[in-house]
Amino acid sequence: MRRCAVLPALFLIVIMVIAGCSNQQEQKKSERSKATVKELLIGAVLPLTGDAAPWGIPPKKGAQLAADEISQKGNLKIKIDFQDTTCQPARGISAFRQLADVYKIPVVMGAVCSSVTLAIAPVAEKERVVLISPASTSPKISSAGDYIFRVVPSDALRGRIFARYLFKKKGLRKVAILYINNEGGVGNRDSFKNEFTSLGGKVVLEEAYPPQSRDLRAQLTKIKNSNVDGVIAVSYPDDTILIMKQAAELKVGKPFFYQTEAVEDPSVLKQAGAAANGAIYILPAPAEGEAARAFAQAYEKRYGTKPELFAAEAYDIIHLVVKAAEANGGRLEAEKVRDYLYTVKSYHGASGIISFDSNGDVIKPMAIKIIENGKPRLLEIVGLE
Amino acid sequence: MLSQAVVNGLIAASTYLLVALGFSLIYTTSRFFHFAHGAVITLGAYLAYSINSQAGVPLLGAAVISVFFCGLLGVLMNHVVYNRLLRKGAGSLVLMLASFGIYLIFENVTTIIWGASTLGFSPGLPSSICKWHACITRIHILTLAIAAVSWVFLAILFARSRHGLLMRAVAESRELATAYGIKTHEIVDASFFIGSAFAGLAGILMAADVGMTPTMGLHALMMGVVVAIVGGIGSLRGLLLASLLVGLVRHLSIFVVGSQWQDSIVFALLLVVLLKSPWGFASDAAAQEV
Repeated sequence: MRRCAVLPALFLIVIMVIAGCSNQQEQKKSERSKATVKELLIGAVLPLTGDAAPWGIPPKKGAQLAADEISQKGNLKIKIDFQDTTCQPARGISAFRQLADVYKIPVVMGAVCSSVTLAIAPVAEKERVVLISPASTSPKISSAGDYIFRVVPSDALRGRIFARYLFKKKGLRKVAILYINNEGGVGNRDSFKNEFTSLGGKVVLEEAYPPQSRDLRAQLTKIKNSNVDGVIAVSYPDDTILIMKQAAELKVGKPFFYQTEAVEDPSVLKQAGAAANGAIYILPAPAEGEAARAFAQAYEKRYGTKPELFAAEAYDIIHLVVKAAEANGGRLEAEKVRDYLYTVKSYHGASGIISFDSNGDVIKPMAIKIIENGKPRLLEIVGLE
Repeated sequence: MLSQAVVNGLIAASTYLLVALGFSLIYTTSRFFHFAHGAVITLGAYLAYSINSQAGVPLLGAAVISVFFCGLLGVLMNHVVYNRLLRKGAGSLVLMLASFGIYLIFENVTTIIWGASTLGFSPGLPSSICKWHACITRIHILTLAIAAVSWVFLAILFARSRHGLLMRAVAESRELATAYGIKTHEIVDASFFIGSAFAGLAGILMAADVGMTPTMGLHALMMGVVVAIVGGIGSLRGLLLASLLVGLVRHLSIFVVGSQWQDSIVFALLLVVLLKSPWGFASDAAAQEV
């Protein structure tokens, strides 16, 4: 009986060893063929399964598109090793270590969930690996380290601009904040609240819900019975649907302002349907110009859908990393990539015009949009003044 | 506001009850933590969705077919995985781990087939009926009714039918029941069928209310398990009381403490109940009564 269990285990070990060897051989082979076509291996840690997968799969598609486009041109071959984080910090760290320690990859794209990016950041700093997030928006990431970048603006920027807009243009004075209880949710809440209260507004209610929750009626009931001019919601696509539908069911009767791009997610527009109408939300200003159009076309041609959230950001990350490598004679080195990124100013990418500040944060203008008849309409473009 | 909170609590309680009924039915006869119950909840919703939207069967028919398949799926899990492990002398810990494995596989397969984004039977603006400052939708009323009917169904099954009697015998002691010539395997299969059918039903009702995601089963299972433990596994009356208690506590506690403590409060309640009486609400006598 016992031998039965030992044999398969032995087999497994043997298989793993063989697999490891062949991988090494592949690496050696690619090193040898460096003279002709250089191969760059870039890592990626994204939530490919679980609740946050809708935000992890589009960056994968965007990055892959960029890699294939560059590879087709000839002199560089880009390979991306995608690892799943499931939006869990511990899984993220082990995925990152796999890339950084085992495969010695100097540049990793990711993560998507702010909690995962923040968990990986100290490891990336210590290992001297560049980490570039296509989607993490927590303000804490600004100070996460020298090697940490992002191509999506910090919530601090978004929260500040949204608070100013709602206070000055929409005349809100007393608000409730409904937010998902994780790193991103709390970060958004704080950045809005700080700016809104400093302008003289008041946050009357702060209601959180756990990330897996499918029942927000308790929070919405409380909000319905509070005396507020509007509700600021910080949510992901799945729970945005819940907020919209359950607020309609309970006839909450207060305007909702979404401090998230989740509103625009196709699943939200479809599932919430008419319940989404009237939702006002803020997101990085839509990218305009040749690069954005070309990307959208190529994406649609390849995947049959318009680019989803964060696909363009991931696409830009791969292009920026490759540019950094090209500037370094086709070699991917963490320090060189880091130094290169700090010098990037007004790069016209698929996701907009990209510049990095000294924290590695991207600075982009924001767009205020509204859902009308189930479709997004741009209200205005706002900046930090 | 209070009336709405109570209504919210009742709605939540009815789904907890449905999950807990199925879970505890399976637990009492098989005596291990059937984690994959969560997967059946999820699959019930997705199967009904596909049968409805892709095969074009009306929703009610799709729901019935899906519930039936969920029952079969439960039996299949029992045969393909649990029975084999049991025959090799696996303990309840091994079974639980295997069950967890099944859950993960199903969750991932669901994501691969249907995608990770929310799907729903009836997208769009929900219509609700409001009275005494409380609003409720048709799906909520249906869920409440089905939960009540399911509870009564099980109560009658256990109290009046021979099959229920056999289930109670197996729950009491599998060895003794076998010794008395009861075909315990058939009884366990029956409990897997009924329990899993309940899970599928719960999944469909939840999805009709809030839409479906591949992870929906896990949170639903968590709450169902809390109810099952607080109620005292196997006691129908205990399950009913516990589901009401957990549902109401979850929705009323928000007036006292911040909503971020919602889940913590429920688990604190679980801890308090367990410390006071490790058998949940059900005293030993009630537990024997099943």
